Amino acid sequence: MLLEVNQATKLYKRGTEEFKAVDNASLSLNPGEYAVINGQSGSGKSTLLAIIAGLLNLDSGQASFDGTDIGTLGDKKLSALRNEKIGFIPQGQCLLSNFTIIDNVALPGLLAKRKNSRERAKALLDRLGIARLANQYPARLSGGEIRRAAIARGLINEPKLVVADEPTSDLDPANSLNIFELFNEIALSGAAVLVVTHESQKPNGCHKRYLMNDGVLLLES
Amino acid sequence: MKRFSLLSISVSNITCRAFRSGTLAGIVFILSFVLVCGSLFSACLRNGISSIDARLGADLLLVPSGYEQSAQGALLRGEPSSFYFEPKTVQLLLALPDVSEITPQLFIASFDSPHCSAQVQMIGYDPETDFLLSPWLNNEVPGGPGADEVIVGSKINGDVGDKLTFFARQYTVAGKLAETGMGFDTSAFVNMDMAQVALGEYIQLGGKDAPEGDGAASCIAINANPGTNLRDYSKNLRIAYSQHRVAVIETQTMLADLSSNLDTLLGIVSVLAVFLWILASTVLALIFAMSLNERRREFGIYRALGVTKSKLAAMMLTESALLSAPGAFLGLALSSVLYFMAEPLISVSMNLPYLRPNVQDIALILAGGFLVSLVTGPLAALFSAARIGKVSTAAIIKEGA
Repeated sequence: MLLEVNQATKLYKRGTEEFKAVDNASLSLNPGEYAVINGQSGSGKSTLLAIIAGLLNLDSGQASFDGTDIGTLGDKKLSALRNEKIGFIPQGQCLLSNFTIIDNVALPGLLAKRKNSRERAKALLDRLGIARLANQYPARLSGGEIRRAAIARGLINEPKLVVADEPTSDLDPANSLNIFELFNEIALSGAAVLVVTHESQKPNGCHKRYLMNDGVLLLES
Repeated sequence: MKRFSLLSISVSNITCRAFRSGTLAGIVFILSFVLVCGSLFSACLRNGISSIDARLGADLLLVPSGYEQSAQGALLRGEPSSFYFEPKTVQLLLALPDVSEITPQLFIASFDSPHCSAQVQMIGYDPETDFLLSPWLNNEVPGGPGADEVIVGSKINGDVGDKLTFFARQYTVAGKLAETGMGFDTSAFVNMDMAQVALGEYIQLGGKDAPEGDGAASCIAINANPGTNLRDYSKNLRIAYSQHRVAVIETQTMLADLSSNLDTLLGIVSVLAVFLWILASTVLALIFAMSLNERRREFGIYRALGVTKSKLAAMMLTESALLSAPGAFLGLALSSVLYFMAEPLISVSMNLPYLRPNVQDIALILAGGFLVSLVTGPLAALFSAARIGKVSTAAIIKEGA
């Protein structure tokens, strides 16, 4: 098992009131598996992704990646894990505005001190059909192009797991379809893919669909 | 970007936010400018007082009653003054009991006329009895100036061997003194015999209030016997010689008054500098906090890509240091240039002893001002840097947060 989340609970405080953003959630993912999580805004999907990416600590339960309990790792090891093994694609405009597209895409590779990061970034941009935009700044790109660049950046270090938070929220149906096709291709290449989305339709090639409501995660049968 | 480094990312972040970066650097510039100017100003005044303390090695100065301020003006600021004891009073005073050292000095204010090369304070002293000027005048001219010779202060135009005219007589410059920060810088020193000659010429050329005949003096410097209570001694002198119009200046009291005035002035300067530092630090801290708020999404993205919290904090501190450095350097450069250009005006207008410290001390002051300004930015950014991990994680969960 590549990713295993067992009875994960995350508490938040709203004023003096405590509530469960993630309530006893369990999830598992094997290499090459493609899963989506559906749910309304505020249902806890993004919090669950942040837990999986090691950005948030659990209040109870466990999240393991490749057999390692990520709750036991310090910030340095967690950051390295996120950089090298998890391609995390945050929601919204998640490119750094003061870097060109190619620099944005190459950045995780440069951070990991991997050789040929720029060459790999060029190849990924080419594969995603936006090679012509390599030297542009994010402000000049459309929503669909920004999402593609963000996905390219998520793939730069050949992660074992790609985690995407609402990757199609600001895209038209045609572009959304293309993005989901891209995730399918990534899963077919051997990486596990976990996508949080509002889209109610199960994407092509998707193996599992989870539903999340008020922090409770259910696997669609 | 060829490779990821704190520096390259920080430089990129700074250059793409030109207005904010300029504002931050500008605040550090103002801080650096004021700190360096204030420190130089304080050091010069303190050095001036130290110089007087070292050179005014007499317990008491006796001057004609009513001329106490003139005597202090002549000694401290080189204000040309002419005031005299009658020769018979001088003889009386030179025979005072309970003194270990006693020596007369004669002050003659030169004229602003063709008869004098410059308007200065001419000081005649007796090398045989002198204990005030000889210790350092002898460094320039062993044995003191001879006939028709003069030793000049640092601010008088004329080098060794040049001829200067005072009261229609030509004097050869036998030595030139180092800067003292006192009135001595604008004084010309001759031996007492030449001073008596000069006084006669001064009278012939229309000088006022000068007694006829040899033996006049403007000031009698005294070191009392060890163990003497100076307060009682000077009180007794005032009483005993009141009919001779003798005023007594206690040099330690004079120095204490000067120090007190100086402390008040420097206290104000220090309070202003600290106030400015606190103000600048607060403004910088607020700007960094606002910047953190504005950029939390950006920091969240870095976190998502695998940048550690400590590296993000270091990035913010590096940015603040990179912004502080040009501000601190420009402030240092401009304040040094302007200060030293305006120094003659400052030294004259202060009405206090003023002496520039040596090069090493100035270098230390400049380095200190630069360092304080340089670290102010990172210090102000410290609080925001410490919060960066928490804020950035929250931002990455909420879109547009």
